[in-house]
Amino acid sequence: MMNDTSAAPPLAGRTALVTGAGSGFGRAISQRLARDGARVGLAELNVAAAEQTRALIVADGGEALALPTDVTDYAAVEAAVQAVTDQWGRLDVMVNNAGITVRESFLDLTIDGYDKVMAVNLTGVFHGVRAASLQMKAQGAGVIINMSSIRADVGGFIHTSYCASKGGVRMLTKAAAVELGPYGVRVCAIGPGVSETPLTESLLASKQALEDQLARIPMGRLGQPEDIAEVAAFLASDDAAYVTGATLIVDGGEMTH
Amino acid sequence: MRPVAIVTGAAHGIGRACVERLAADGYRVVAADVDADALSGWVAQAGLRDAVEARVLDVADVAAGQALVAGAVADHGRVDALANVAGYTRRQSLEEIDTETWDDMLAVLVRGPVFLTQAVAEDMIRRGEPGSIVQVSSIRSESAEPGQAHYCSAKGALRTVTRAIAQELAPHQIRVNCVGPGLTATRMTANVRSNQELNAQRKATVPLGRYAEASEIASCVAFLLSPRSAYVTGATLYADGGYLAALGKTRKW
Repeated sequence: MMNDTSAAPPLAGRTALVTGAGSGFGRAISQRLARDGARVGLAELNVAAAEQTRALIVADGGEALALPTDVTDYAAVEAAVQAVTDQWGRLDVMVNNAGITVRESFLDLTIDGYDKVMAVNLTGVFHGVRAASLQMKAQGAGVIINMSSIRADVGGFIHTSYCASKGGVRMLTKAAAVELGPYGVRVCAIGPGVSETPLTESLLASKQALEDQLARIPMGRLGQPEDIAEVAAFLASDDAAYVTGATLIVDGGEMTH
Repeated sequence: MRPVAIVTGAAHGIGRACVERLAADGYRVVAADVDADALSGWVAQAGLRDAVEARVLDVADVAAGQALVAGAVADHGRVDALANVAGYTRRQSLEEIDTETWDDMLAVLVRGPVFLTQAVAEDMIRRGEPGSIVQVSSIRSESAEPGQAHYCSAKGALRTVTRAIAQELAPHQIRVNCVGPGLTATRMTANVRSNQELNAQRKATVPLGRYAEASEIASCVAFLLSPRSAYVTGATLYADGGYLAALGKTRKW
């Protein structure tokens, strides 16, 4: 709460790679990790957005590297990990955050929409876990943080592919944690509730939808990217040294229903 | 202004580590334990008497818990955080558990924490200020073990009642969460750790291959008590070295 500000920041000397770093959770997490002292690789499909995140970090006194990356392409993710290790010598924190959604009701679900969501949200995370874990295993240390969702546990209309992908992320996290634990590599997930990001903008555009949603959240507000970023910074730090395989739900209490 | 925290089970293990961490983070800590001598002993030895007040409390005694909270509010004007850490276990088969041991286990592990939470929440609501409460649950809220029917039930109940309380207190900006430790190097595991073969077996159930230090659980408690976790409520943070990820099965076959 009031740590001695003269002490070194918790991630001083460490490096991180964040996918989807150009907006929403990814941007906030990148900024937060940089503020904690990490040098951050910004993997992002939208190069201009990654450059904007980099500018924000640099303006705040941090160090970052914009890395054009399509997480559905394993070679591209591998190259992003390589770029971080070439630049800074190691990779301490990997945040597999990039995600999309295609909202279709189950009965109208298209193969194309389903494949797109799974390719980014689950296979993209697998790519990040795999590429990062090879480097971290060699280092004998590292933390991988995957973005799951309350939708890993709760179904709902128009969320079929998203639910499937996020449930997959939750279990991938557990499976990888069991195998990577002996190498000193932790694998955790964050399960955000409904949050104010570009991903939910269209969904919450109607007043009715927003009010209905808020009525479901005991804390009475939507999650903010900064809420998720604080949790990511904690999981990345030594304060979470014994946390692995776990998903921390960050949802203002929605899952208590 | 210095925030005020109450920690139960503060004489040993995870509770003591929580007191040390919260004091280092700048809280004034009201530290409570049924073992008053051990508690005041280490507090004095650690040179923490300016930050930490030792209080005697049997958490099974609800009236005593309520008096402790009232005293803290009278002394400091507020309680911002509560960590319900006090707990114990006994290895007993279902056949051996009688109504007395069952009732006692639930009194310490569930009833005490619930009414301490209620007392602290009343103060927070009266002041109209936010607050945070953490219950120390266990991997045994999810994963059973022979000889632990009462302990598993109590920890499961604590996890569920935490969700219910969290839902009710959220509109007051009071957050309530659990930390679920796995194998931790405390007095509760001292017997197992002193047996070489058993100890090796236990460690092999944990992907990280070791016990947690009490301080590694305390850092999770401190995070959930702090405003850094502002949107986390009704949740359980398992700090178990990966135990629950495979329910203790880490072999390749």
